[in-house]
Amino acid sequence: MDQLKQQLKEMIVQDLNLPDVKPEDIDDKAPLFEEGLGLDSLDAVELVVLLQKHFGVQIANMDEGKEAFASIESLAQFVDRRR
Amino acid sequence: MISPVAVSATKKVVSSKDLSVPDSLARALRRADDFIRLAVVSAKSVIDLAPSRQLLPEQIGTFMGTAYGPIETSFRFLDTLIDDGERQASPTLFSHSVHNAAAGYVARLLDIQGPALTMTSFSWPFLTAISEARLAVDSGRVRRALVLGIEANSPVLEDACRQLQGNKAVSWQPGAVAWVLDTVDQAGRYAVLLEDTVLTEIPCNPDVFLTRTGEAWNMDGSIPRGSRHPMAYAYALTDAVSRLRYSSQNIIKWTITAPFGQAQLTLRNRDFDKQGKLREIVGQY
Amino acid sequence: MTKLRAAVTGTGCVSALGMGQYTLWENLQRGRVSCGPVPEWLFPTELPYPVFTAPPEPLSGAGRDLLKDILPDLPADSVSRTLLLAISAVAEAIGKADLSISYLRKTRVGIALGTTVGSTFNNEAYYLAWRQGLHPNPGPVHNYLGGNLASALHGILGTRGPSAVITNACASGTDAIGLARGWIAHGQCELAIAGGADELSRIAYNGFVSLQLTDSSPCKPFDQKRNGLNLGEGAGIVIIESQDRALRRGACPIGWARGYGSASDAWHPTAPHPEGRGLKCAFGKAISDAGVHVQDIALINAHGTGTRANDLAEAKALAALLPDPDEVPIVSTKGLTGHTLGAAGAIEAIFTLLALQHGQASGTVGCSVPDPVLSVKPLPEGQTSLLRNKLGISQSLAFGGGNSVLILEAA
Repeated sequence: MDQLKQQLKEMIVQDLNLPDVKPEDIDDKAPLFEEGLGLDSLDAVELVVLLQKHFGVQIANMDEGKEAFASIESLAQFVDRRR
Repeated sequence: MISPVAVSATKKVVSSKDLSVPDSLARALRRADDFIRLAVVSAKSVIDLAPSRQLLPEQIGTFMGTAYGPIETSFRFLDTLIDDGERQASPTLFSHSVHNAAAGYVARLLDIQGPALTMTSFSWPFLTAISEARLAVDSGRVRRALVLGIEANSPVLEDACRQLQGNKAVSWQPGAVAWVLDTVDQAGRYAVLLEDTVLTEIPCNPDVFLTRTGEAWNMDGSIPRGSRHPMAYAYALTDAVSRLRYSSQNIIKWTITAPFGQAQLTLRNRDFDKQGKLREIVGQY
Repeated sequence: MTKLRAAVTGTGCVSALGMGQYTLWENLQRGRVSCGPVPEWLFPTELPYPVFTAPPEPLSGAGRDLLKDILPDLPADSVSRTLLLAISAVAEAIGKADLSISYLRKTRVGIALGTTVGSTFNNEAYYLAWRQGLHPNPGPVHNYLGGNLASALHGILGTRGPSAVITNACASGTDAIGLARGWIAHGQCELAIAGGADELSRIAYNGFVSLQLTDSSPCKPFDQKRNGLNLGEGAGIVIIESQDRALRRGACPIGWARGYGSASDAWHPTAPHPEGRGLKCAFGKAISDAGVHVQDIALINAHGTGTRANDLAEAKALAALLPDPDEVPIVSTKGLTGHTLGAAGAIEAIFTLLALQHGQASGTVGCSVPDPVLSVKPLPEGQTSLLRNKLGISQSLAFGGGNSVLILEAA
């Protein structure tokens, strides 16, 4: 699970273009969207594609995504269940 | 009859070395490609150079002209579509591959809420943008116009250009030109007045748009020059404005010709007498 | 802005509703929806999102005649589908405006066209070969360079005058008409051919799908169950000239472009400002430009794509702008054409004029139950509204945050 969280953090930093953020500085429980990391709706749809590409995980719609995307922790749990 | 407008400030960005993104904008530009960075950096620079005015955000408009737009970004999107497949193409790349994404960034980052017009033409898109900006200022649709000419480089187009010219090497650096246009009464001390723009296009072999063969410009009898770069004409025009600003010359008719047509801009100096007081040259309006 | 009246003397249109205005109006009345899976002749795809296709043959009879007379040797594959759709609409418009080619060639003619797909290099085969280092024959690049819609049209018609291709995404068609109106007012040209055109493209299709903006069913603008847009294709063209000039040559205006306004949200690359800030600004500018009162507006043809975000924001803005929203029918016609991108503003301007001419608006196809959460109640499918005068609005909201509003009056 820790390894998955690390992978997710690296993926987010690299593929969502956050060069000023270090993966290790992302708090597992901190919000990803709006506050915290400050991602937006465009990052959300990009994240859907990235999860599909890197983990084979499909997200049917953004309502489903909303809960999963709350934090690294919730994202890791979501991916772990689905892959 | 269209009144003159003042060119309050100009800025050229001629290579990616000039393209340093200020720290304050780095986060906001995290997803931006070179095309958008060029637009935002040149726009911010020229606005900073222009005399400050008390204007509401919706009183300023952005007018952008480009020949190729963010063409490489559309190829990057196509890469994801080809390599990763239909449900895995990148939405970020797609949304940044539309021609007017850059104008949207400029509006958002510089809080410019007036009209944003992005136009494309292969001949002289920056001149088209100047022309439309001038109409907008004259009609009062905007009180200030930010005019941008942007071209990112494209290995795909460079390769085609090379082939179309019998394998002569070609490469161009990304480049941008940015101007601020104001009404004459708001013109700063060193403004140059833009009196007239006449653009005439004629049909031609379209390869010439890319190779720029036969394109030449002059100003009042100086040596005609040409260049392969799609932004070369815009750099030359901007240089002409800069030179006029600090010269004792009164007027320039900047003319450009090419197989695809010709254009002429009439630029006039705001003159000062020996006491340093403003002496406007009032032409025949 | 100007006391000069910008008369509309001809219109031409191609879309999923068919080719030619009479076909169009009939199908508009009937609410005929021809939306379906992407046909094979268009491009291959595994995706289920339906689209609105124009006729497979993009060139009308009149369009073919235009090309035949002028350029009989034009190789078929050198001209894009977008340009062919535009030619069909132009041929219809100049026919309706009673304009001959020889007359146009003696006149200073401005051409302002909006497009999205039509301005891009989208030859996948070429790019694939280039990627593999094969140095493909630059024929497709040659065609791309010759494909600027306005330049190409000037070439085909043999006309001289201002030339602009507006690439403002979904607002391009509206902006092109606004721009052309400005040219007429400023004496930049004596007559203008303005509008927009876009073909369906695999790239744009996948782009909108990736953004999760597309519905896998026919779109439902303003409906409580709406779930996204459907892409469409087509072209819309209007002929604009000064009222005086039109009357001098014996043309009968079918309407007027009374006002135009445009403003930026300055908010987000793809999402609209939640309160519709830019739309409110553009609307106010257009009203002021036209010199009319908001209360005089009898019809609003909204952008109404069917996405959750657009329809919500647009409705919020309209609620703030209209003194009595219940008094003005608000419709979207994208349930009949899909979202035609660069053509949308122009096609919808024509629909607005048609409705104003006939004094009647048909309800929003696809909208069975208007979303109660919306701040205004659009006219739902199956209902009609008689229009109390001849003044209406066509508005567009674009990617990148552009908002453009046209005020039109029918004769």
